[in-house]
Amino acid sequence: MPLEFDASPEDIRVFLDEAEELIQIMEEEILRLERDPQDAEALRELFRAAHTLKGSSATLGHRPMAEVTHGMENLLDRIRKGQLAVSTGIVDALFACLDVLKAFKDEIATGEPAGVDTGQVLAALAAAGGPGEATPAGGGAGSGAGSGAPAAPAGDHPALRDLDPAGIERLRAGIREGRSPLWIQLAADPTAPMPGVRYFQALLALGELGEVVRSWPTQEEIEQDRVGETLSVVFLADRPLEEVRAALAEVPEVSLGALEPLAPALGAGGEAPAPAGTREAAGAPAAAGEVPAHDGFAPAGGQVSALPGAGPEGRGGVQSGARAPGEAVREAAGGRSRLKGSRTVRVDVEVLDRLMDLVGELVIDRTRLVQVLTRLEAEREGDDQLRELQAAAAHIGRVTAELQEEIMRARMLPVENLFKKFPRMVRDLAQQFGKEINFVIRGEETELDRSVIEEIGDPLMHLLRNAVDHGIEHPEERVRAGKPRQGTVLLEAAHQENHIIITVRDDGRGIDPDKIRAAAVKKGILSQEQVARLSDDEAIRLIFSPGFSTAEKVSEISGRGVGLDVVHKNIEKLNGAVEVRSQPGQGTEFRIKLPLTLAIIRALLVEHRGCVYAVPLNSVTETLRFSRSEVQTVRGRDVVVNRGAVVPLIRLEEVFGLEPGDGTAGAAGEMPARKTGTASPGGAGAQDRIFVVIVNLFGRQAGIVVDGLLGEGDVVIKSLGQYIGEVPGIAGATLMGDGSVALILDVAGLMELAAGQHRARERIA
Amino acid sequence: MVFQLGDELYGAEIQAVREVVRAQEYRITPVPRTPAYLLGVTNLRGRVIPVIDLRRRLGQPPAPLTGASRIAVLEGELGTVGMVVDGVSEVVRVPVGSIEPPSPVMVRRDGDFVRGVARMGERLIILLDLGAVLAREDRKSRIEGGRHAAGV
Repeated sequence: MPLEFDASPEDIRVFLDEAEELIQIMEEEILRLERDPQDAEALRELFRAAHTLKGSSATLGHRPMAEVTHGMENLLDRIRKGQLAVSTGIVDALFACLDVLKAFKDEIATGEPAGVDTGQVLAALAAAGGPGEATPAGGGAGSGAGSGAPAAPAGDHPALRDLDPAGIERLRAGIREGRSPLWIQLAADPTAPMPGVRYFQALLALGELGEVVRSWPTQEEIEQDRVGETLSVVFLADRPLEEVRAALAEVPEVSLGALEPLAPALGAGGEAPAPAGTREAAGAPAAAGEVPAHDGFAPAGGQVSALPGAGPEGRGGVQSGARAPGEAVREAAGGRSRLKGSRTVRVDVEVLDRLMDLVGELVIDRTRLVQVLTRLEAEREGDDQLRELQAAAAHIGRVTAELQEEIMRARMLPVENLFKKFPRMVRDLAQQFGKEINFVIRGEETELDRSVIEEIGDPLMHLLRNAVDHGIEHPEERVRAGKPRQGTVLLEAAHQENHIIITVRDDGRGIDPDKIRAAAVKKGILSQEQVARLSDDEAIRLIFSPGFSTAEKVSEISGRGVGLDVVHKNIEKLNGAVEVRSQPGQGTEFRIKLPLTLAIIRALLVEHRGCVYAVPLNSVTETLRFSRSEVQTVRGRDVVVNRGAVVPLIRLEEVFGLEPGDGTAGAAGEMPARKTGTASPGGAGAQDRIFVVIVNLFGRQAGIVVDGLLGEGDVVIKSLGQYIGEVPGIAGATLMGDGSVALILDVAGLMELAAGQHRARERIA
Repeated sequence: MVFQLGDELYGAEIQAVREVVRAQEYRITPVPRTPAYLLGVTNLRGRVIPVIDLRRRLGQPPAPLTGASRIAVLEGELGTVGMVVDGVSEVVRVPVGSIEPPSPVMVRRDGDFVRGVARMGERLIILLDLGAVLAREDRKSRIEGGRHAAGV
């Protein structure tokens, strides 16, 4: 049965955003509380977040979520009052609640019931709270009316906020007549086939005991079967509260969520705030009184006198009823951002991507404009109109550059958004594996393009799991090795020129290169002789090879089945690189180098065999000219010597399998070779000099042989598309100023291809 | 839509054809390590799209581009793809009744891509199965073939 909520998709989205943030806050505060049980501020923040989520989930009509948050709130309240002390049991129970809340959040997002039973976590909460006023752990499906799980948003009366002035006036009149205004919330059992019928019965039963002032859904909506999971009623009772409760208990297939007097809240409308204690079920804590609800409430009260009886039936009824919960959610979200005092809007990432594409096209047009102007200039020197055109073009150029920069900035997010997910994971893993770990995060304010942040999460999670699972030793083992019991895992982000460097470091047992060598031979990745030739650093790099894993040390995390080769690949896909350094007994360090953005890169444009290629500048160290006689052959591979270092050469025609002299694989060579100006085109072999682009990826150098250098520029990365898919050695395509397409080289992929081909030749030889 | 390839007429459903442009106005950049029939990529108003050569796709010998050559821009399952043909003649309505299965004589190397033959008076139009033409059944083997790098 798909879940349905009485709210628009937009309202649900707002709710989900808010829930995500609140759950994240709770997670952070629970961790803080675990570190320092006396941290009153953490406790307060945690309480506030649980409380807010309770309110908005009840408004949305997600009863189990409201129950769980209510249970958390109760437990936290007792801690706050000093009746309980924070213990591991309590922390675990709170974390268990968070997991359930996350499952509920996903359930709301997907509309697929998560099948989570709240009974277990509620019981865990009750157990953690020990004897005393234990949380009522009822509220599972089918538990009868009066189970006492109050789902009403405490300290927050959606009833009053959503009530039109006429309704509020009616309530005040009711009080004067000696009737008691009540807020009633009923939830239909999830299994009830016709909740509308049950709501109708409930309204009939209430009609016997007083006056139904408003209901959500309205009677009209109920008759049309437009109902959600809950029925909320603002009621003027002629009979005592207990009698109302009993009458509602008679209605089958519904359970009572809330039943509380509204008089105190009504009284607070104009004058003093209601004493928190007077509310019945919700147990609204006074400390949380500053929830946004009051923002909405006061004006509502004011309107009563200003607009007496303004259109009582006009706007009420269907519309306001159907939208009530959503509006409450939106207002709660609005209240939150008001608290932050920030002037921000949420923008869909797709909109930013589209803007980026558009700016990319502007950049291309700007280049074209400049080219045309250069030609015109030669023909019509000193023309006033031309000068004006040039000034305008220059201005467009500046504005475009600025626009590009601003949009790039809008796409940047602090990595904090990603990093804050990890402390909980590390804690859980440490507990699971019996490790003691001090998890240090640094540089979380470092900003990164959000597309990069989205992609880098999984690789980082994998490296951190590795560090906890395989890096850090058990406490006893550490003590024996003369290290502190507690291992340290560091996650750090830092800005470095045009890159972000993310470091994952542990002070654990490190990686033993000999074991890696042995494993590589055993798995048939390399031969005995080959591994013997590898330096220790090179041997350790083998952990990134496809299919490599030593169960004993690196890779292959329990249950996840992805190896470090996947981490390596994912990072390279981002135009990044990863390197590993390890000292047996001292620890391991992974350094990930990432571009600031994925959309636009600076590139060196080169020409080879009639084609233009863009080499990402982040991997280029220098460009050199060599004469052919300087090319030497070492172990069957062409190399040049640059400042004493032997640099293997990569020939694109070999790596890409281009036929000699065939730069144009197109239809019978109708494409003219580009004129390069810096070097004569085509004609391989005729020239004595070659250009070599020296690229460097974490200390591994290679030289790409090209026919000519065209210069540097910003290029907009475009994908080759699904039809072509991934092409080894090619990172994408970009549009040139003349409208042609140039391919962007994937330096890491090229190095891999060249090494692979070299090995293949070696095997044949 | 009816187009020429050598001496023969071919047809493709018009719904799949987004537009037809002059092939000579577009510069095609070859992409290495892809099948020969994939001529490369080109810039269609700011978008990078792949361009295939229908002749090579059907196993026929390639021919130089002429002023009559066109790129038919098609919407396939894997996105927009340009297809080079020798010329585009017209759009005709083909009654379902006039479509015959490809005769054994017709089934040559391009048999897999032919859905049927339509007789329009004197002319025979070979109806292409665009789904098959634009499919990339070769992709898997190509990627595996190219994956001999071990990443050291």
